[in-house]
Amino acid sequence: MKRATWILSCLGMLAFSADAMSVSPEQERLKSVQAVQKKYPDIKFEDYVYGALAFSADAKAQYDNMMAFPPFESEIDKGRALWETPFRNGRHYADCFPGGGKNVAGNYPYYDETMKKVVTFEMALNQCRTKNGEAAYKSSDMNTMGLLTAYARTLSDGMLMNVKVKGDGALAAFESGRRFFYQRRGQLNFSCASCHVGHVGEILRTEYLSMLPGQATHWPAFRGGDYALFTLQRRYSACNQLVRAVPMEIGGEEYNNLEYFHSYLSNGLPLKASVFRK
Amino acid sequence: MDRSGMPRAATPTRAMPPFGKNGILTDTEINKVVDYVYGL
Repeated sequence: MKRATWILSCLGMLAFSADAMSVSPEQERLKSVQAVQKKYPDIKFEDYVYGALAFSADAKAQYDNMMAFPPFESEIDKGRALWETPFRNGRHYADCFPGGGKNVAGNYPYYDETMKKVVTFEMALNQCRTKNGEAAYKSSDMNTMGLLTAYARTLSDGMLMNVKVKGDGALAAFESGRRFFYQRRGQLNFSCASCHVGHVGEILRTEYLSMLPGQATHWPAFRGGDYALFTLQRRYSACNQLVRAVPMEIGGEEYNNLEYFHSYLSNGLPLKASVFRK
Repeated sequence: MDRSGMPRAATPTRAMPPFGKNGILTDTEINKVVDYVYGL
């Protein structure tokens, strides 16, 4: 019986991997959106950007009040100062991006065919620094890279997420991110999908579980009572720690590929940076 | 097929932490939880 079970499970894995490979990124995105629409037909697609707030009128009202006069505005101003301060060679971040950095963040992450890896917006900011003779920031440092993105990403507020996956290398990176999302990990044995696909909209302790599509649009966020600054990848790290897994490196390849998959699944939804989240 | 010893195989999408197998709770703690649940 054990042998039969083993053979059956191998066949199941083969069927699963064949299925995974036959699903294109766009089919994956549509499947993900349709699953939420089926479970929560009253929530509009454009409201997926609010994540857990879309399930609670009270929490959304608290968010709206908070965003009318954000208590963390001085932090965004610090990011603006970083963005506007010229490099020692006199050039600016704005010189590194089309349109002076306006409406660009939704094109990230992208797969760079020359470097053979995913490039996030944070990496592009660091490329701008090193190209102009400055040292790169650590992606995990919220006092530098975090604050810089807290302003730089606001320049793309309202832009629709527009991540592209074309070519074998890009597909492999997307698939790597997808695997990360669905892979169980940590002592508690949860995958990202366990909560955000399997139990979306349900309450975990006191909080609603947000939906996968839209999750990559509202970053960075100022979270909780002390408005701690969280980039998307810092959030990944925190999620991994919550399931008692050793987190990956913020800015490392695993999280970059996850962000690539995750952002593609938010395609067509408007960005908004530096928001409040519980 | 008897899956009583393989709860995760029986319900692969269920989000239930493997409290015993992964050492999240000790046997004693699990017994205390069971006692509590029986008392409800």
